Amino acid sequence: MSAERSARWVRRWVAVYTRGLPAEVRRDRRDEIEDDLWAQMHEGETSGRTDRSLAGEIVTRLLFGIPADISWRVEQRGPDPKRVPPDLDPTLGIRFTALFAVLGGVGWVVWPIPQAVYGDAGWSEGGVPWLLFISVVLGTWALAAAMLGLVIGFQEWIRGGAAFIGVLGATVGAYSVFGLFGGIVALLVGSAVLVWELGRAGVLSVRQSRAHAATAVIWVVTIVLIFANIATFNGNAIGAALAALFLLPYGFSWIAIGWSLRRGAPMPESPAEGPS
Amino acid sequence: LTIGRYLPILSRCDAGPVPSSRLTSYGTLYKALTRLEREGYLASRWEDPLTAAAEARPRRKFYRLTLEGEGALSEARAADRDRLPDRPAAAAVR
Repeated sequence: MSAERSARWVRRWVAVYTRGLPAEVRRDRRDEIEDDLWAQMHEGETSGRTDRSLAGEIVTRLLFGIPADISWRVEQRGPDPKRVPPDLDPTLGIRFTALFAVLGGVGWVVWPIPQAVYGDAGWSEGGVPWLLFISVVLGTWALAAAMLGLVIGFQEWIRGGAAFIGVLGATVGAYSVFGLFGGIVALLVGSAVLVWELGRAGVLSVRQSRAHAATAVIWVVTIVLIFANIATFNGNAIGAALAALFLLPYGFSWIAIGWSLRRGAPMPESPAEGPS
Repeated sequence: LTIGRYLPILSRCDAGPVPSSRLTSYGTLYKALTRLEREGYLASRWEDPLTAAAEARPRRKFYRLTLEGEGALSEARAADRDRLPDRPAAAAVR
């Protein structure tokens, strides 16, 4: 894709999210973006960058900014300031992230239970395949969406390495439900690193971020122990149920994160160094 | 609005051109600028369209820090230095 084509996508998106606004507001936003694109492409040309690299940068800036664009568009309606606590940033993107965190957390609290009760038979007829599908597949995708929402929503405050691990974990984790089940570990590692970083930046409390990382470690250790001793757990309902108990805190931790973000994000005291 | 949330963007307004590798996404940047202006930390004006047309480029919007913005930025920087005393001041706002 060429830089000019990427710029056209940006212009189309601006036309979409400014539709219905007063002409002056619409024109101002369009002109701001037009100048930004011109400066970006002009700088790209003079610095000798390849057209492809520039196109990628434009698309990245477009995609990462979409939640903020939607949030800005919603704000144009004029929110009631009395409903918003002053120390919270109630963007739509953060609220969706909170919702995904809660839904994903519920899914991950639910699925270990039928998995422990039915074992692999839970996925076949006579089990509860619909419940496992909803809780495992949709729950995992919700958690992946929550992680991406956290990365995008707080890109200014988290370091590039943590953002990368978070995005990678969300992507591999979301894909793991198609059969690459070991990939789920990436989701846990990614979320532990990402949430730890958000605690460091002041978005989440340090206690909450450490607790989340601990639950992720407990989850991974438990799964490793189960698979290392699979013969012990096969057909052993009590053992499976006890093991499932160690998996639940991770889901509860996500519910707690979503709940703490439900009215917006607490303001970090200070931004982190890193790419923006 | 807590100024610390938008400190990186405010710092860049104060520090001149930004390398392309550190560009903020379009949505985040312009939403932040809108909020900072609404809160009185920034003031803006549009360039004369004729000037832009003469140079064959889109018109530009110029932002400047208001007194309130300068004060808030200084406070946020000081708070950042206090929080991380071992960090060099320049790095703390980058």
